[in-house]
Amino acid sequence: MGKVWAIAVNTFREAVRNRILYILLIFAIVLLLFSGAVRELTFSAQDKVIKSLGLGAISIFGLLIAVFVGIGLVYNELDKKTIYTIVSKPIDRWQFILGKYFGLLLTIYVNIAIMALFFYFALYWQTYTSEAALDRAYAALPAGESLSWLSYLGFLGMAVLKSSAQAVKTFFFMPGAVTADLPPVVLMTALELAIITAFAVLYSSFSTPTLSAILTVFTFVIGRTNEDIIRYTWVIERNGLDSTMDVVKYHGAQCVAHVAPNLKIFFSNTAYQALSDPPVQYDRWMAYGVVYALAYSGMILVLAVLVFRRRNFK
Amino acid sequence: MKRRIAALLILILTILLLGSMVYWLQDRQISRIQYARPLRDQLSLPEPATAKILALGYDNLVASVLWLRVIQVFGAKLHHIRENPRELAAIENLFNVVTELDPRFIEAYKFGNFILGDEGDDQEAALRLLDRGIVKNYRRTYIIPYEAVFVTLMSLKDYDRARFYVNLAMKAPDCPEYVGRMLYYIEAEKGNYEIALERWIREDIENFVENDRNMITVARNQVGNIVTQWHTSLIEQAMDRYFAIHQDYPARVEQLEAENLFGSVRQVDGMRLVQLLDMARTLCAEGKVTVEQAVARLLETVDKGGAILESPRAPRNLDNEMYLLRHPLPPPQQGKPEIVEPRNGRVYTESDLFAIRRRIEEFHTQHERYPASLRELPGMQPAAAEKLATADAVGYPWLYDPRTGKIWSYNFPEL
Repeated sequence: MGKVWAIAVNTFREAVRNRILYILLIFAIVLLLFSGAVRELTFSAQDKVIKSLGLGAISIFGLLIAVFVGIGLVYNELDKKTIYTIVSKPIDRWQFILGKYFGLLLTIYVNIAIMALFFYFALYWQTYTSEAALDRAYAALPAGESLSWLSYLGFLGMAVLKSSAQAVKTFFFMPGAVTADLPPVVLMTALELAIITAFAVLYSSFSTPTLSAILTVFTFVIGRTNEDIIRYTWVIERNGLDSTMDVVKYHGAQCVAHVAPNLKIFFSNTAYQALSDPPVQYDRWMAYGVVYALAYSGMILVLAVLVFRRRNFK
Repeated sequence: MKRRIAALLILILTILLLGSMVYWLQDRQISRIQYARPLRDQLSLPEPATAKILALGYDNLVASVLWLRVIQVFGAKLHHIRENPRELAAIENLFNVVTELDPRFIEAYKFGNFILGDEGDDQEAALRLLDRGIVKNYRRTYIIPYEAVFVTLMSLKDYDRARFYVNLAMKAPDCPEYVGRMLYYIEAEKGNYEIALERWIREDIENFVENDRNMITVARNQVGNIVTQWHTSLIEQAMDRYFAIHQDYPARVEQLEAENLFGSVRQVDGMRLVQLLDMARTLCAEGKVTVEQAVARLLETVDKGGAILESPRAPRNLDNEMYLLRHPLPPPQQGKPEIVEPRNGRVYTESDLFAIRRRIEEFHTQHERYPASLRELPGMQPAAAEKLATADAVGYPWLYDPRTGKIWSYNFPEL
């Protein structure tokens, strides 16, 4: 495992030098921090809108990082011929693939962690600097006295400290009232991206970056619409499998739905329920998601190792 | 050479001809463009089921973005909605898409009901949206069926449907008690005065026993109102009969009696009822009689028959009820609830909520469950030394979810 870890750390170091990563991260953080401005655009359901925008941003930017950083992982090694120096060392190819995968996953998770922290911070910041909080600050003053600029700075400073503390607590699964149901949603997003990253590594092991990007995005789309593909087969079946084309379409769609990942597991029972009031318990679904993500990404990685083992570097 | 020139000329002519045609078509189209963009152009969306597939799982995100969009469009354009009824279909689809993407977006159902029903004057469209919400949030929240109650009751005057929605709302765990009282109102509106009266008498006694100050006032006023409504309807019916005979209305009530137009009716001795109600409250509070027994005894004041003026009580009854109508009876004990400024109300409510939440947590620690009702909390019981507020500062009862132990105020939901 030491070799896998060494490659993973190197992959992580290489990824954090990628400018695309920083552009995406900065864009995501700006979006998350300014999600508070959305409050002004809606007259009710502010919290729900802000949370769904924030969670959506974390998922989308996580996906973009997985695609844009992951697709060139193996290809770049081949293109720059650095693979020769690696394979000439006592490192198996499976160790190389696993190292690349965990390196990329580490990169994505660090980014998700940063985005989640900023998101939680933004949510708490809005609470601690709300009109109600300001009212309380005024109420604490002696009668007739107004809030000086120094006191106001102190109020803001306290808000920063409290928001940061709450964000860190939430990150470690000790959420307060504002972020009560959000950590499981972020966790499920991370699990979903583990599968997508495995696919990015698989595609990168045998194709070009452009093709890998297209295939990874396609896999994501199919994964997210997996259950609709099954519903489509029901429609075909209900209309009758009369022609050969219908039979082909039916079995083809059934095959895709059974083989492609079902990414709905990771969002349908978390985000909805986290944002609904009253929220619903979903522990069982989380356990299911963890097992599914481990099994599926493990399977794809084994496939990637198989493909990569047969690859000729000449 | 000549052929090349001819070919060039033909090409130029063709370009000019096609160009002129395109220009004419473009100009025709441009002349049709209105300064304001039609709403349906801005709100055109696929069918809800298709939109759900296209959202690729970012359902909440897309629903929120569409929600922001509809608010902006409403502010800018939708005030013309009644002048453009064709736009309603697009708006209905928009809300269908938002709620299909996020079926638990309660605000979307409420706002959709407002736009389609109140602004668009299409109550059936509003009910279609609310019905979808009720199905998707069955027994989750009372809010959507409660919205439907108002549409059916106030706009459509469809009391049977209203009763159906109240019953649905009452099945939700977060349903506050006042929602059930809509049934009494519905019964009265339907002309089932005796049922409505029985319910309000029961409310009056029960709330007296539980020392709910606000509800004591409400129930007592409603007893008076129901009696007044009941007698007014009797007089109106008699007046209609009089009009059918004389093509004119009577100058005095006695004229109705003289022609025996009241027929055989049921009526209430209002004064006696009020006196007995005061007595019944005390007896029930002392535990000497049950609420059931008290209600049954009080309903005996409903006269079982006879013409309204044949009874010696009749003229006095009418006067009593008119008095009750003009002078609602004050609550017998603590006086009216305190009237508070909104800003102070918020502070008081927050403080009350803090105390109750602490009690709920203590209860949870002791019993390893949340109280099934707030009345289970020690401070909510009539005999408690340290009393907790039973309503927020504005007088609305608390909203409480026994599954999660969450409590919040209707008027200050952000607290």
